[in-house]
Amino acid sequence: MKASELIRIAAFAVLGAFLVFFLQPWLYQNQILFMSDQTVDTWLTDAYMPGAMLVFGVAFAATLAWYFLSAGAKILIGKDTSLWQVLWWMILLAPVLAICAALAFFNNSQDALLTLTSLYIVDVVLLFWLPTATSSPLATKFLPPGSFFLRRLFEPDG
Amino acid sequence: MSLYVIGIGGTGAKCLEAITNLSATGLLIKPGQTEQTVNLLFIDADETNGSLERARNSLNLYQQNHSLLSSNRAPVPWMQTQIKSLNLWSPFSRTSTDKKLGNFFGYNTLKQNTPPLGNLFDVLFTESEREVALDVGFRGRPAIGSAVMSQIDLQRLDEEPWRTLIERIQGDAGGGLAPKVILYGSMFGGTGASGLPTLGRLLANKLARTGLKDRVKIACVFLLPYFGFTPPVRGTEEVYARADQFLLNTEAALRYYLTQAERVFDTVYLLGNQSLSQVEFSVGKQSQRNKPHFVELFAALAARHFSLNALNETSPIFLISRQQQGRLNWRDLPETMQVKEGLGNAARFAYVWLANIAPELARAKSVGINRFQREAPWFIRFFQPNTGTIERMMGLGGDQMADFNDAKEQAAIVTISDWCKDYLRWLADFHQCEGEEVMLFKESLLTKPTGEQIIPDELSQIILGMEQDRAKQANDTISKLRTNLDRTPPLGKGTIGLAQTLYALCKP
Repeated sequence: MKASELIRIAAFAVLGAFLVFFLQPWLYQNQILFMSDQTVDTWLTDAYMPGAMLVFGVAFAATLAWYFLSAGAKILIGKDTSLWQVLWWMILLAPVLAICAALAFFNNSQDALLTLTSLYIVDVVLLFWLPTATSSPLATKFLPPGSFFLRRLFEPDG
Repeated sequence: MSLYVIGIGGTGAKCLEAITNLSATGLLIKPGQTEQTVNLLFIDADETNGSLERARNSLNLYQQNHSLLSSNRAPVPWMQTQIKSLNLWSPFSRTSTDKKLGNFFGYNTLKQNTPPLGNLFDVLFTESEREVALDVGFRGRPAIGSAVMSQIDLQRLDEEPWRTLIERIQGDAGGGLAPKVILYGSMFGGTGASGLPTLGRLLANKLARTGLKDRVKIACVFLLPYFGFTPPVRGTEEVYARADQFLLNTEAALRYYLTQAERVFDTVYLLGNQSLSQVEFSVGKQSQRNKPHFVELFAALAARHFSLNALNETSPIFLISRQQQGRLNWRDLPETMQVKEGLGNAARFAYVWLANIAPELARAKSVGINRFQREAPWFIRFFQPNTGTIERMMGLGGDQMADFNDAKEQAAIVTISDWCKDYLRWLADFHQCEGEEVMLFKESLLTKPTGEQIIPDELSQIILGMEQDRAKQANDTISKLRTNLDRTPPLGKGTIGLAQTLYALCKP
């Protein structure tokens, strides 16, 4: 495990937390993202926060699960990586299901549905896809989609 | 420093094969030394001898790999020694007629023109010995070989490769390189037993006459009996080597050296084995292809001792023996730690290359770089990645890296693989000495790699007697090596850089 990888994961988590718990609620509070069928403050407290915490928690946990599982990967031949690639997509299911659950069980505003869905997708990109694409351990570093380009952008010398 | 190695007969050839393999591991070069040249000369009347052919093949593979690797000097001990071949010299090289002793000395003419000499010839050699074909060697008869070998005239220098040999020695001595010459041969066979004393004396005399004897040290490695064979039950051959006479031949040869060859060699190594490994009987030619024996490894280590140490008349006499008869382990070898590290590093590299890297590179060729580079992140540290236009525009195209699909890179993979196979074959062969338990490497792993991928990962088990704690053993895997390939700064580009980096990582 490289320190730089863990630092990047932490940085994305901090950025994600800021986005989820401060920026996104601010967008609703200041009517930049418009909703009229619910009282914003009440909606933020009763609907948004539980759902956002669920998405944040599951996405961050999925990132850590991927990282620590793949850190122990003993890849003897290149073909073995296909299993790990499947595993990445399976782990992605968790944050996706968290988004679905957050929308289904917590959100009660039709006006906010589309914007909230979009924001949750951005959250998962920031909390799961970007960290895994830029910070996966050496043996699996090029497996997440887009990682081949991003990783070489961050570490041109490997 | 330059070293001249002359291998006489089939046993001499096997010793040169061992020296070639030892050179590959860096054991003939001093730590910190960057350049060294070894000149090899094979001497054999039997030009198609199987052992000789195998040794020359090993040498050829070495030279191909050395030539490849010399384009990128890396701080690894692998193939640092340049080996120049003086090729093969046969005492019959100028003989176009039947290679028989009688023809060689013009027996019929002698009998006719100088009868006393002809009669002396009859006293010294039987009719069978006079008429037998010698293109298979001297058939275990040193008396025949000595007579033929003594016809070399080093004063005239009109025959290659002797002219080149002497010129190079003179050049090296003049250039302050302190050349050393070491001769190998068996004392119990035909070609070696006859060639070693004769050639040694002629060479010493030549160097003395040119005033070089003080600046050029000459050593010899006498191989005492270490193998035997069952003679043919009944056949057409009357003149052949007899294993039951080996000890007798050796005793006579040792007495000769004691009385006649005292001033010839500066250093003498005597090597043998109490138990004789049984080999298949052969008169000569291709069928005389005896497997490598660990005694030849000791013989090659003698060259290491001779070339790396300043020895003189006051140097002590070294005795070496095994701790246990019938068994050979690392502690029985001189300079155990260095030899274990040298041979072990090369063995681990050869195993990993054949068992994993070469098959992976073959896979890269079949599935394409675009897919493979994601499966094996280490790949793009040595070869140009397959990238899109945006990446190339951003300078991530890796244009300075080697093109994997280039014919030179593909040829280099084959060249390195061929050397790896030959090196593991040599190690495996001397692990199979009959009646001996050689416990240097795990023999089953030496013969496993054939170029196909090997699972499971048994890298940590190759070298026997490696005291590793559990944590270290758990990390000593090919998987870990692959990760380290991606983590370690490459020692070069392309196939060569990959091989050199991997060699460094395979250090035990």
